[in-house]
Amino acid sequence: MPQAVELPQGALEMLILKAVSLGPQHGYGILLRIQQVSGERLEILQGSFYTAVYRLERRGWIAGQWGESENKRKAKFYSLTAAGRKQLRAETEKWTDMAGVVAAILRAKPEEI
Amino acid sequence: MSLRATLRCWWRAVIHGGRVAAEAEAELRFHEEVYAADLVRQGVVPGEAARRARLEMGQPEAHGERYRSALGLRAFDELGGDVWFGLRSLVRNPGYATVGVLSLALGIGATTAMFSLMYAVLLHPFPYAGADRIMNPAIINEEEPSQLRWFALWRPQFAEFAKAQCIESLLGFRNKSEVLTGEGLPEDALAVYLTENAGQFFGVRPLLGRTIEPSDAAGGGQPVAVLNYRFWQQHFAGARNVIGKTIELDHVLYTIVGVMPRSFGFDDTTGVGDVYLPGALCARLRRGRGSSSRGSS
Repeated sequence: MPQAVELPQGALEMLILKAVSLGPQHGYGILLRIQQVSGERLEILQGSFYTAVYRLERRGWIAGQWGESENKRKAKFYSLTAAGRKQLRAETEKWTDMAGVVAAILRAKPEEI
Repeated sequence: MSLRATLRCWWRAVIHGGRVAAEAEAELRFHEEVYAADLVRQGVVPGEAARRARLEMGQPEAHGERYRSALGLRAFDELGGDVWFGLRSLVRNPGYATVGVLSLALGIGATTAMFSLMYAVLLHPFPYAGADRIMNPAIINEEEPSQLRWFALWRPQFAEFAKAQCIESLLGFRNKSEVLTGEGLPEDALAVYLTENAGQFFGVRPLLGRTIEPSDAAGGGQPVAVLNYRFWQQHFAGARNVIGKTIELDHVLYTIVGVMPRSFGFDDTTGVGDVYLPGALCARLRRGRGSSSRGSS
């Protein structure tokens, strides 16, 4: 099994936004989605996960609504709001930008400087 | 970040606190259950799966706290806890609480009394609106500038004086000792005749009824009187139905139209006065000395 990856500050929220953007999902579903896509390499603590979810809800980027789960249980489903969609786009852009810059610096060879 | 969403969250958490907490717990339980079911599917014994799920999810209380802190409600909770703790401590130590409340009450009372006094004496010594714009004109002999001479004016002089551009409103007054009659033994009463612009000049709201008004000058002066607060207390025992009753001065009846508030006195140097009468009535006084004047620039 590949080594676990630790998430930098604020990245978890971005991942949750992304997971929710794929379709409304309850908390556990969001967590599974993120872990599956990451190839089980992300270790996410339940505590920090729900803290992030609630913070996103407070900011109005995701909205929770009670519905029925696959196994006929009452569960809270989260979906992306318009503000959340905008935020996700902005964050993604920022992230790719930053990752690109950092990667370029790390690739730099002595003769290029 | 949307302020509206935050406020909506807080509103829900504060107003429907119980339901919101129950929902957070239900969400935790659901997560725990589905997680345990997944573990069972992966081959974990059901009992062990439930235990592991519960262990990982933690206590519902901790989850609720996480929820409130994510919403930014921690400050409210801590404040509420402090207030509650303070109240409980007070109830537990009634003696201590009594001493505390008493010393606070005494301290606040003393400070208020002191400030009221300072306000009345130092900051706002005159009970008139715009007291800083009221001037008392006097004649000064340049060789002896400390000696002020007040002067009286005849009506035509007063009218001329009032026309001065630097004067917005000129108040004339005349004090006269009258005898209060019609009430058993006659009694001294200091009457102050005021020019009829007095109400607007002082800008003091009467306690009851009205002040002397320009219309009181009609027909050589209407027989109306406004009472000083102390006089009203002494002679009418502070009765509020005094308006419309009559008062007899030197066997002439005056209708009482108003009572001034306790703070009002006119004026401190020549006596605060017991009754205030329309200045037009002055004309019928036999030895008309004219009226002294005060100007407001």
